[in-house]
Amino acid sequence: MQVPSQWEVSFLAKSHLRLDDGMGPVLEVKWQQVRGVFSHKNHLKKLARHSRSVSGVNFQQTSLPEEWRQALRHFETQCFEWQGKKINGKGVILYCPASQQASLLQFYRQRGVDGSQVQLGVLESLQDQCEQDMIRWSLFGLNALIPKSFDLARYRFEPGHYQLEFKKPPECIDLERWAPADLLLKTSDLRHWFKHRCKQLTWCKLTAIREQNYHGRPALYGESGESNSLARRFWARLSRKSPNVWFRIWHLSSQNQILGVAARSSKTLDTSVLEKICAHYDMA
Amino acid sequence: MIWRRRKKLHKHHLTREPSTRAEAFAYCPVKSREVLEEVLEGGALILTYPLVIRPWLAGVAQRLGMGSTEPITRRLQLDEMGSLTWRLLDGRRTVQDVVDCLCSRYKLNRRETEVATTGFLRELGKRGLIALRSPHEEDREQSL
Repeated sequence: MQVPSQWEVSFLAKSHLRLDDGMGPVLEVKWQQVRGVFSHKNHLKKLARHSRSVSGVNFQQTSLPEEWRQALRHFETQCFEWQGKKINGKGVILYCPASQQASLLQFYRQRGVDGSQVQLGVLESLQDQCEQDMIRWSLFGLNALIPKSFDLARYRFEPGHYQLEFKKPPECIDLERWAPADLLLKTSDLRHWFKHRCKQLTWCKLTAIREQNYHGRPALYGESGESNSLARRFWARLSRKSPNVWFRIWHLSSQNQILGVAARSSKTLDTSVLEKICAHYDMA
Repeated sequence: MIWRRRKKLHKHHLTREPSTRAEAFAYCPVKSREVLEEVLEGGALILTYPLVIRPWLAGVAQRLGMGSTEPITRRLQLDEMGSLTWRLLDGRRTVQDVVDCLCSRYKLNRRETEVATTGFLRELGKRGLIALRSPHEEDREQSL
C-alpha cells in the first residue's frame, strides 16, 4: 500500500495500523486471516453496534463507489460510511477468497475536505499478499526487508531509540536504531558504548564481540559458537536463553545514527538471511 | 522559601489554548528570569531555579508558623542536547524553529525531534523554567 509521504504511522500493532497527517487520523487498516466462512454482514453488524456505543455517530451501509470498483476488483467488498460531530469516515471491508485474508480500511475526513483522489490512489496500490520472500518495512525513516514469514511482535519508537521485533517461533529478529550517534559516541568508541552504555540487546553482550569493517563503516559483530550440543541446549533451556545468537551493529556516520540487527533462536540461525537484512537495512 | 498566594486570574489574562498541532508549534518558549545558568566544562548547563510551593501548601505552612523567607532552589543538569535546546530559547524562536534547529544539527527524524523537544519543553514548563507565549500575544504586544 502506498500513501502520501506526509502521512505518518500513529499506531501500529500486529494486525492494526493507523496513519495521521499531523491534523488527525486519516487512514486506519485492520487485517486478519480468516478460518472458515467470512461474512461481511456479521462484520458490518459489529461495526454498527460499536458505532452506536459512541454518541453522535451515524453509521450506515453504502454501496461501493464506482471509482473504487476497479481498484478493488480482486476483493469481495462491503462499503460503509459514518458521520461524527467533527469528522466523517468512509471505509470498506475487504475479503480475498484466494488468500482468505479479511481487511478493513477506513478513511477519516474532515468535513468539507475532499480526499477522493488520494483515497483512490491508496486503494489502487493496496495488496493483501506479497509474492516475494521479503516484505519491506518503511516507517519513521527506517527501511528494512524482513522475511515474509516473520510477524511484528513488538515495537518501540522513542526519541533516540527505535526497536522493531519480529518473530517466527522459535526465531526472533530485532531491528535497532540509536541516534544521535555523535552524542552517544562522544566519549567512547562503538565497542565501549555497546558494552557499557547501551541498555538494549543485553543478550548479545554475552557473545564474543568482534570489531569489523562493514562496507566501510565501523561495526561490531557477534555470533554464538557453532556447537549446538545437547548440554548447551539443555543449559539454554534451564537459563531460558536462546543458545544461538547473531548480531551486527554499525555506525552510519552519514546519517548520524547507529543501526543494529540481532537474532536469537533455539535452532541454528540462517546467517544468509540475516546478512540480507543487514544489507537492506537503512535510514532515509 | 518563597510563599506565594496565587492571584485570581481574570478572563483577559487567560490566553486561548492552541487548537491545532501547527498552532501549538507556533508558540514561543520564554525563559523565566529567575533561572540562573552555570556552564560546565564540556559546555553542558546547570540550571538553578526557585521552587514554587503550591498555594494551598503555602497557606497551610503559614498557618502552622512554618513560613520562611529563605528561598528553596533546585538544580537541573542538562545534557548536551538539552543544553543546546535551552540556549535556543531566546524568546523569539518558536517551538517549530527549535525543532528545525535540532533536526538539522543532529540529523534526526522530524517526528522524533518533535516528540523529544515537546517532552523536554513540557518538563521545563512543569518546573516553572519556561512559559509559552502565544503568537497572538506577540501580535498584540507589537500593535501596542
